[in-house]
Amino acid sequence: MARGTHSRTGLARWAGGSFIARVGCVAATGLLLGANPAGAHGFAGKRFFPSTLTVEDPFVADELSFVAGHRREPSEDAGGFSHVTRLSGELSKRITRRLGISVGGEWISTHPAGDAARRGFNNLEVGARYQFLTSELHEAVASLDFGAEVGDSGDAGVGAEPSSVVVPGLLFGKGAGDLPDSLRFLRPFAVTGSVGVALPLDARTRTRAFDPMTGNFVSEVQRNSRTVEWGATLQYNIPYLQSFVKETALPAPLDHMTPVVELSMQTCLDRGCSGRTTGTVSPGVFWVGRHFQLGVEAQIPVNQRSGNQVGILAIVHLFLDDLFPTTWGRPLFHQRSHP
Amino acid sequence: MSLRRSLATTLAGASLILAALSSPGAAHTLPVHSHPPAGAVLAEAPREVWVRFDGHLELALSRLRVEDSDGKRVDLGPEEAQRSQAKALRVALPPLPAGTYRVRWKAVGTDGHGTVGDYSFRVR
Repeated sequence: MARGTHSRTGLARWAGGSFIARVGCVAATGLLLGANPAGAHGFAGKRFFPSTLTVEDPFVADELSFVAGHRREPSEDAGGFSHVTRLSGELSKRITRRLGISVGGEWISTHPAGDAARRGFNNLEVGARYQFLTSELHEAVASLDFGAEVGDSGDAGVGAEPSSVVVPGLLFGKGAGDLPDSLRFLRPFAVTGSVGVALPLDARTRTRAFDPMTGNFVSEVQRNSRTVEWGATLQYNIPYLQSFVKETALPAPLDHMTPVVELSMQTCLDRGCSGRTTGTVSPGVFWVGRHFQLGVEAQIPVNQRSGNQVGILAIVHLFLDDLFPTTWGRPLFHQRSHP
Repeated sequence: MSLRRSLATTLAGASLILAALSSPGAAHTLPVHSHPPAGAVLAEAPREVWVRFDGHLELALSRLRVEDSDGKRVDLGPEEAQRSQAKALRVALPPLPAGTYRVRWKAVGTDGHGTVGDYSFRVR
């Protein structure tokens, strides 16, 4: 369930067999060997999806993630841009195997061109997610997501909005493990995607600001637009290649790497900015271990409106279900999987 | 402000506590090496198949089997774990004719977390 918290606001044939035979073989893995005995973070069958940085991954899980990023972002300040550093954390907890909740916070340091730096917290973010589809056979997963940014819970000086925003959305992931044998080296590929609509609870917010030029307080009205937040990732899972397709002599840490490209976009729908799209393309790589995941990505603006310099993002992601399998790392309400 | 600072402090503190209190032996067990390796093309039929994992296994719940291209089980089960390490599953094989074979496994760690997987190899 991990995400870069700033993403929301900103958001066969197998050898010798036919397709039907292949489907049957996969089903046999599940049926003859038995179903996966315990819920697993990021797994759909033998496919593992790492937690990505700018696009929500579709899983409900027990996890704790920290994301750090730095980028020169467009700004309404006089210089037109700000150097922005973000440090965010998010804690996700399963209520049941399919239902989870999350809470996240973000600290921001913004340094506008020609102005003093401002530091503070962004609005608090909370979320709930229901994973309604998990197909081991097709390495597919899908979830309904509901996020909310709690208005006026952060520092206005760093851009925290006074209005709350809710973001209902759909998340999905699909591995390419069911490609035919002739394309087996493409099986480590996977895609994930997200689409949601950010809906401000207030169409307009009125703020009062001190104007140093006139020495007076001025009242400003801000129109809060609705925004479609959409994104996708393309991943190539090297551990999948090693374990299920072709074992090669890749040394550590390369054998635990997953190169990823993420596309994170926002398209404004109304209230003065209809049709405007901003976003970033973020190529990077993740290293996934037994208890945690590390990742780093470059963050490239897709257009001038999104910025004109490359930023950087990094993640440390802890798998709580592996760290605390019998206590904090399991759903609050769960069935014992075996004696 | 105190709420937000408390949240940040809690998250940071929680991560340290988590790291300190975690049980290092527990995690999803994933394969690190297998014999024959995934995708191998062999001139000689192997006498056994084994898959080694990155963690200890719950042997009673873990499985390993080998099937031919028709999905028929060909190994000499029952499954046998390499108990000296308890991190690997192994089955012996009869003399195999040329063909493509699929290895299927289910690995359950000592924490109850399970993973599944499969791969193929070919005997010329």
